[in-house]
Amino acid sequence: MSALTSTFANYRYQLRSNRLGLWLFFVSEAFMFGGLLVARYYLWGNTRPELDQALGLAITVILLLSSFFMNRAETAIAHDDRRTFLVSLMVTAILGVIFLVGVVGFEWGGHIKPSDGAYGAVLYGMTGMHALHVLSGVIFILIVWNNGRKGRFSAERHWGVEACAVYWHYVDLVWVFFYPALYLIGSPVH
Amino acid sequence: MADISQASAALVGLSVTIGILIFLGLVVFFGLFVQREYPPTVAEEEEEPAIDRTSAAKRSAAYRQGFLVLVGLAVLTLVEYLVAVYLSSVVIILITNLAKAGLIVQYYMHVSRLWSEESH
Repeated sequence: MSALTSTFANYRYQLRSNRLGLWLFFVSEAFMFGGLLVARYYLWGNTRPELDQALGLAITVILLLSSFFMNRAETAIAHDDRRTFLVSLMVTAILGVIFLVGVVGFEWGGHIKPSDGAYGAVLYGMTGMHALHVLSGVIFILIVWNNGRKGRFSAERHWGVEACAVYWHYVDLVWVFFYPALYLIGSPVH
Repeated sequence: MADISQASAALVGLSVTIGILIFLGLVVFFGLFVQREYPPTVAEEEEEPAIDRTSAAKRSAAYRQGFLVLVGLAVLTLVEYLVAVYLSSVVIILITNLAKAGLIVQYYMHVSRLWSEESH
């Protein structure tokens, strides 16, 4: 086996190990988010606090859009389309920040406070933990964008971009289950 | 009367649920709608510009797939919202969630890369 072939074989092995490690991390995270969802259904039952429906739908759409741009960024680097990669990554980060502003700036500024019993505790626990992941995702994206700007990724080697993209989609996936649990399921309680 | 309408709504919900599950099952397990790559013909191999065209076509197909998934997610989110407002059916909402999750995990998170030899 030549040195070049050996290097590629090592990279492929490393890539498979990295992917497995990342998914195992997601499994461990799923237990935490699952616990929050169980707390919501146990404590709230078939009720929910009165929340701004338009805001909930808007931030959900923003997060879905951000996932689309992240997918576009990953596709772009896989095809050596560097400009689209950098632009899409930046758009994703901006949409992530808008989502954070929507949750922390507007939803948390509503009439429900963390001290408002089970409703306040669960609402702030779920949105807070999710917002923390969005924040870390935005930081991750900015680091990847900076490395991409310096030309550290190529169509052949871009595990950093793939990991960042999959992590961002995971954050979106969690919101897919959080959104109806918080905003849609159950009768609103004033 | 209310019981009958609730029962028929539940029946519709169940049908939609089964339909979505079958559809997702087909998409995920049998790779429907996944573009298959055929080996180039001799004539195509001889022409060098054809390689560029193939690469550009692959890139366009990849971008298009991402957009189609976004459209699917948007439609499902709208369905979820309308069901919550007009039907209040928890079952349909949860099934819609599962469909959205399936799309994200399969097409955005590329879960199949875990058990394939796919590299960059």
